[in-house]
Amino acid sequence: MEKISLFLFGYRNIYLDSEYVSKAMSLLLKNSISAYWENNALFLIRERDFEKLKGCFSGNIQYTYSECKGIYGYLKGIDNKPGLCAGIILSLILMIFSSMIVWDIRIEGNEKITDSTISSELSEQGLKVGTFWPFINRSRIETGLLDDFEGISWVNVNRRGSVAYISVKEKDIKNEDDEGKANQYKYSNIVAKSDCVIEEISVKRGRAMVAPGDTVKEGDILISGIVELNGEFAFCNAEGVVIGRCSDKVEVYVDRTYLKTTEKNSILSELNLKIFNLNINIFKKYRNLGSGYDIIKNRWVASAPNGVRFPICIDKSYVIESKTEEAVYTDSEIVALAAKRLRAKTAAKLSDSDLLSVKSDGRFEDNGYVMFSDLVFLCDVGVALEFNVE
Amino acid sequence: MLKTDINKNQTLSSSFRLEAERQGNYIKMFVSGIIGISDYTCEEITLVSHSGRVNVKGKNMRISIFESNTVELCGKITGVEFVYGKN
Repeated sequence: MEKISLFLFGYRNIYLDSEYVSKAMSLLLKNSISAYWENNALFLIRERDFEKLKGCFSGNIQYTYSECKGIYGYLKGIDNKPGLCAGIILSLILMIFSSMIVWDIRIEGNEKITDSTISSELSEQGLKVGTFWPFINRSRIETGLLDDFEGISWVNVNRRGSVAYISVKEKDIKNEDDEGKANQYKYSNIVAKSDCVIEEISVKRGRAMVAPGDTVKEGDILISGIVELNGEFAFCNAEGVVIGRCSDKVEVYVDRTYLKTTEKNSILSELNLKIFNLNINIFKKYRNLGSGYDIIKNRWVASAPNGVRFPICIDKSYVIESKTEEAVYTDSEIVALAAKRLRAKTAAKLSDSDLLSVKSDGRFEDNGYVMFSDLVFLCDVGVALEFNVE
Repeated sequence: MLKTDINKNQTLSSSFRLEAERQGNYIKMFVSGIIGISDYTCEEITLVSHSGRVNVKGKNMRISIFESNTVELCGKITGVEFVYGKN
C-alpha cells in the first residue's frame, strides 16, 4: 500500500554512502520522516517530505537525489508539454461530445412496414444518424409515427448508449377484417367432434341442446346458434365449452428386423478459422466418400469466463463413415421399444385432455409386436360448424 | 491487532512495542518506540529505544521508517536480542 501511495503522490530516490546510513536513519526517525530502504545505499521518500529531509540532512550527511518520480512527478513535468495537455483535454471533449450523437438507428418488431419507410418517417420527425440526443423529443417522435402509420399500434423510442432502438408493434388488420366479415355473414353451431358422453356444458352464447349425462354421436349439435328472442328466432355464433368423456384406442406396431448403422471411423475433413467475417481455411481433405457417411460440423467460439463472446471461432467438419446391416430385436427390446412409442403417441393424443383410465396390452405377431392402449379421457368435444342463413 | 497498514491519521504507541507476522518465507516485524538506529546492514540491524537496544539478525532484511517512531523490518529474521542499556 505504501509503495502505491509513493507512486501516486510522487517520490524521490535518495543515494548516500554506507557510512552515513545509521546516522541518516536516526535523523529520519527523530524528524518523523517516512522512508523505505531498498538497500544500503538507496532509500525512497515521499515528495512532500523532500524539503524537510533537505533541511535535516544539510551539513550532516552527503547525499544525492533523483528527480521526482511517479504519477505526480510526471504530471509536474507536463508544464513543458503544452501539446500533450491540449491533446488530453481535446480527446476528453471529443469522447463526451461523441456519446451525445445518434450513431445508429435499429428498428425491430416490424413485419409489413419496411425499415426504409420507418427510417424516412423518423428522419422527417427529426431522428436520424448524426442528430444530437438532447435535441430529440422522443414522445413527439412516437406520437408522430402513430399518427402517420395506421398499421402501427404501439411504438417506443429507446436509447442505449449512442444507438437509437425503435420498437414497433403492428396492428393485425387482416384478422380483424376477417372476423368482422365472419360475424356479418355467417353463423355457427357447436357440434360434437367425436362420440362421447357429456360431462359438463357451459354456454356463453347460443342455446344448449344437450345436458350432462347425454350420449352424443359425432356431428350432433351441442350448442345451437339459433336462439329465441322475444318470440322470434335470432342467429348467432354459438360459443361455449362442452366437456365430454371419450374413449379411444392407440396402437403401435414394431417390426422385428431393423437396419443397424455402425460407425466405422470419424475423420477430420475440414478446419476453418473465422475472425469477424473473414474465413480462413486451414485444412481441407478431399476424398471419395462411399454411400453411407455422415458429416458432423462442430463450432467452438472463443469467450471470456463471464460469458462474453469474441468474434473468433473454429469450425471443424468430421466425416463419419458408417455401414448399415440388418439386425433383429430381442423380445425384451421389441417390447420396450413398443412401450416407448406407445407412450409418446398417447401423450400426443392426450395433450389437451385429462386421462381417466388406460388399459394397455400387446401381442407378438409373426414379424413383429403390436401394443395398444384403450384410453378413457375427458376433453373439449365441441367444434364450431358454420351455417348460412338465406 | 497487528497494524500492517500505517496511515497518516493512525495513532501508534510511543512506548516500546514489537509485533511480527509471517509473510510467505519472510517475517515482517513492526517495532514502535524507536529513537534511533545505531547500526544497519542487510544481516544485522541495531535499534535503539529509551530502555535499551534491540539487535535483529537475519538475511536480506529491508527497513522502512514511519512517523511516530515506528520501524518496519522485512526479511528472513533469524534472531531478536534485547540488550538493556543504551551502550
